[in-house]
Amino acid sequence: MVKQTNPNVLRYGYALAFVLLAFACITTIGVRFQQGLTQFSSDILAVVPSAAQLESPSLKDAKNTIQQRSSSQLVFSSNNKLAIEALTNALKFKSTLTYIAPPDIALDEVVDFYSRYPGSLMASNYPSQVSEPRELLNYTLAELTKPDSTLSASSLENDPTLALASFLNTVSQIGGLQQEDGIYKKALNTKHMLGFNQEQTQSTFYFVRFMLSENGADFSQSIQLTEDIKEIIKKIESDFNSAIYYSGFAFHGSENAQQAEYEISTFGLISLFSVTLLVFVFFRNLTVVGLMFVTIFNACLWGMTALVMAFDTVELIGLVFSITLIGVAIDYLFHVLCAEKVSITTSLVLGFITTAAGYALYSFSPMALLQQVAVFMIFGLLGALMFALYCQKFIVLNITMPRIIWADSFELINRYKAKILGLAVFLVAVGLMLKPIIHQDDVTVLSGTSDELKRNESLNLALFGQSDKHHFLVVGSSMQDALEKQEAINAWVKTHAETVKVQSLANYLPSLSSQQATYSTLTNKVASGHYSDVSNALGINVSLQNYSPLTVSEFESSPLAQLSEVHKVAQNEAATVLWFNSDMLPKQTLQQLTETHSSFLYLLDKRQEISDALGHYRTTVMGLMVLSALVAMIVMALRFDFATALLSGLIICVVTVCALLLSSWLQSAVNLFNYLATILILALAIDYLIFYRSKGLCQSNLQAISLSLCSSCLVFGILIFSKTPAVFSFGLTLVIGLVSLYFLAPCIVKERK
Amino acid sequence: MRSVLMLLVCVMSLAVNAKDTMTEAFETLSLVKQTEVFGEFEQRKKIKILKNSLVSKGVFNANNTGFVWQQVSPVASIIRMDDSGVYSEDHLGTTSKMNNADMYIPLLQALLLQDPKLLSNYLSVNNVDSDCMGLTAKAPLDQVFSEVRLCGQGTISKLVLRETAGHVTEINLSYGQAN
Repeated sequence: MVKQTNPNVLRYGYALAFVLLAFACITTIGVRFQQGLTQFSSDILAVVPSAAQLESPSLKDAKNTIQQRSSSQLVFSSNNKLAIEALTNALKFKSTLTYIAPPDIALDEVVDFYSRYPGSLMASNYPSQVSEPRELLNYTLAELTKPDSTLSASSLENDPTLALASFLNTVSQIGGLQQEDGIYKKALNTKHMLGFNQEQTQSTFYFVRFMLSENGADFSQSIQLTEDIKEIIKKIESDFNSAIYYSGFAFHGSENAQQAEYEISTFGLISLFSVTLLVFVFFRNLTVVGLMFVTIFNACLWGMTALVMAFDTVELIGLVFSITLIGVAIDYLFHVLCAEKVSITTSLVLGFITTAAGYALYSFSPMALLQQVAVFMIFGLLGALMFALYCQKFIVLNITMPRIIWADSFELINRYKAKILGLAVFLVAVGLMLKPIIHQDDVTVLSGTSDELKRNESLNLALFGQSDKHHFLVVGSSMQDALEKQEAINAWVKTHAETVKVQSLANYLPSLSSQQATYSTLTNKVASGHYSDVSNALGINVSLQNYSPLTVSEFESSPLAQLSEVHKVAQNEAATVLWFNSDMLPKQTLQQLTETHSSFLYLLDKRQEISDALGHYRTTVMGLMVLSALVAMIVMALRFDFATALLSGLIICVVTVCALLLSSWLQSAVNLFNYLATILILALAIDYLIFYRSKGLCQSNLQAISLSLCSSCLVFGILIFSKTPAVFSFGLTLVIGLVSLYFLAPCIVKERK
Repeated sequence: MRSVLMLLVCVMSLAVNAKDTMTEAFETLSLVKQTEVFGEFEQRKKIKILKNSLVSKGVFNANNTGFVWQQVSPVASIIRMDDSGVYSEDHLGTTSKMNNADMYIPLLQALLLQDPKLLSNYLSVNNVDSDCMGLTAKAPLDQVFSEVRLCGQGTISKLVLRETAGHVTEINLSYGQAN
C-alpha cells in the first residue's frame, strides 16, 4: 500500500527548503564579500579584454606596467599657483596618495655626466657627413654665437668637435617640463580646447602629480578617496577663487561607480514600484503582490549567489543590466497565475530552457561583464522558475483578472497574418534601403564620463605634453638589442616624417654600437684634418680622448636614472621592453612604421584596441544571433512542425531587424549593446511564440503575455534614461523589439479548421 | 680691517640702492616700455676656455607679438619667434623649430621691449645704480645665468649675461629711428 503524503507537509516542507536556501545564499554572499573573496568593481574598461593576440609574457608585463601607471595617476592643475600649493599640501597628508615631485635634474649635473663620454655621443643633426673645414668652422661659430649657446660653450673643453654639444642640445630639447618651486608650470593656449572659454587664450598653468599608493584598492575606498579629494578641491577653489582641474582614472572609476549605483537604486526602485502597481491593478490581490516580491527576491538571491561564487570581481555595470531580471523573472509567475493548473508546466520549462539558452550565449562572449550578466540571469531565472512551479502546485488563489479587451484585434492579426507579415517585411526592407543600419564601435559607448572630467583630462594631458601622441613598445632580446631597435625606428621616423619628434630612451642612452660608430666617424674626421679651420680660428687643439662609452649601468646610476625607470617597462632574462612615444604620424605612415617593424614594435592604443574588440564582438553577436535563431527554429520544428519553425524564424527576423533599424535611426548608429539586446529579444520571443503556439489566443495566455510585455517595458524602458550609452542602447532596442514582438507574435497561432 | 670696511660700505650701498620692484628700477634708469624696437647688435661672447672673445654682429626687431634676431657675421643665422613658436634658420637656409628656446628668446624679447612686468617672470632686481641694474635669474633660468646686468639711460644700450658655467656674453645695442 502506497502511503499518500499530506499536501500540507509538502507545501510547508518546500517552503522551508526555499527559506533555508535563501539563508544559505545570504550567508554565502555575506561571507564572500566580508572575506574579500569577491569585490565590486567599477572599472568599465578593464572588463573589455585586449585584442586576441598571442603576446609574450614580457610584453604582457610591459602592458600591465603601463596600465598600472596610467590607472593610478592623479593630476591636478590650476592657473593659480597658491591654490595648487594649498591642494598639494592638503593631499600630501593622505596616506593613500603619494606625491610625485617633478624630477630635480640640474642642468650642470647633466652636462657634467655626459661630458665624461666625449667622442661617443652625437646627435643625428650633427654635420657628420661634412668634410669641408670651412663648413665645419661655420657650424662651430654658429653654435657658439647663438643666444642659447650655453651647452655648446660648456662642452667645448671636453669635445671641441661639438658633437657632444649637439647631443646635449637634443637631450635638453626633449620632453623637458618647466617647473617653479617644485611645481610643474606651463603656458598653454586653451582657446580651442574642449570645455574652455573660447575667448580665453594663453594662460600659465601650475600642475602636480600624485599616485594612488595601493593600486586596485577596494572600490568603496577609492570612491571615498575621490570624494574626499573633491571636497578639498571645492574648499580650495572657494578660498582662492580659482578653478582646479582634476583628472585621473580613479575619478572616472568613481564617477562610473556612482552613476551605476544611482541607476541601480533609482531604476531598480522605480521599476519595482511600477511593476508592483501594475500587478496590483491587474490582480487586485495583495497575496499576488507578496508572491511577486518573493519571486523577485528569490531570483535575485539565486542570481547573486551564483555570481559571487563564479567571479572574484563583480562589475557594477553588469548589475545594472541584471536588474532587467526583475521584469523577466515574474513572467513565470504571471503564466502560473493566469493559466489553468498543470497545463502550463511543459511550456514553462520549455520557455525557461530557451530563455536560459539565450542568456547562455552571453557566456560565449570574452567580456567578463556579459558573462556575469549571463550567470546572474540564468540562475536568477532558475530561482524564479522553481518558485513559480511551487506556486503552481501548492498555492491556491481565487483571483479574477480583467479581460484583454483587444483580444479581437489579435484574432484579426492572426487572420491576416500573411498580409501583415508581408507588409512588415516590405516596410523593414524599404527602411533598410532608405537609411541602412549604421554601426559605431567607439569605446565611448561604454561609459558616460561627464564633460567636466573630459575637459580636465584633455587639459592635463596637454599640460604634460601627452595629448596627440602615439605610444609604442619595442621588444629586444637584451637592453642593447632594444636600444638598437629603438634607434632603427628613430632613424626610420626621421626619414619618413622629418618633423615628427620621438621621445625614447635611445635619445638619452645611445646603444654601444651607435657610440662605437660615432667615435669612429669623429676620429676619422679629426685624423683627416677636417677641423683644421676650427683649431686655427678658436686657438684650440681639436682632438678626441680615448674611447669611453656610456654604459647602461652608468646611466642607471646617473642624474638621469629616472628616465630609465620610465622607459624600461619590462625586463627579464629573455627580453627587454622599452616604452616610447612620438608626435602624431599620418595614418598611412603609422601603418607603414608598424608593418615594417612588426617583429618587435607594438602600437599601444587602448582606445582603438577596445573599439576594435567591441566591433569584433558585435560581429560575433550577430553570428550568434543568427545561430540561435536557427536553433530556435529547429526546436520549433521538433516540438511543433516545419511551418511553425519557418514562421517563427520570419517573426524573429522582422522584429530584430525592426528593433535595430529604429534604434539606428534614433541613436544615429548602433553598437554592440543594441545587438546584445536582440539576444534577449530572441529569448523572450521564443517564450511568447511557444506559449501562443501551445495555447493559442486564449484569454489566460493573452493576459500573461500582456502582463509580461507591460512589466518588461516598464523595466527595460527605464534604461533609456541611463546616462551610460551602453545601457541606453540596450534598453532602447529591447523596448522597440518587445513592442513589435507583441503585435507580430500572434501570427504564430495555428488557425482552427 | 680695510676689507671689512669695504664690505660694510658695499652692503650699505646695496641696501640704499636696492629697489623693491622691477618697475622702480626701470624708473631709476628712465627705461620706458616699448611696443616695437629695432636696431643693431654687437655681441662679444667670452667662453671660458677660449683666449679671445667671439664677436658677432647683426640686427634685431621686437614687438609684442614677435621677435627676430638676425646675425650677419661671422655666420648668418636668424632666430624668429611668433605665435606658432621659436624657429631658427642656419646659414644654409635650413629652418628648424627650437623646442627648448622658451627660456632665452622670450627673455631677450622682454629685455629689448624694456617690459618690467614680463621681465619679472624671469629676473629679480638685485641692485641699481645710476647707469646699470644688476639682476638675478629666477628658476629655471638660474641654472644658466648667475647674473644679468642692464645698462643705459632711456634705452638699454648694454646687456651683460654671466653664466653659472663662467661664460660671459656682452651685447651692445644701438636703436634705429622709428618711421
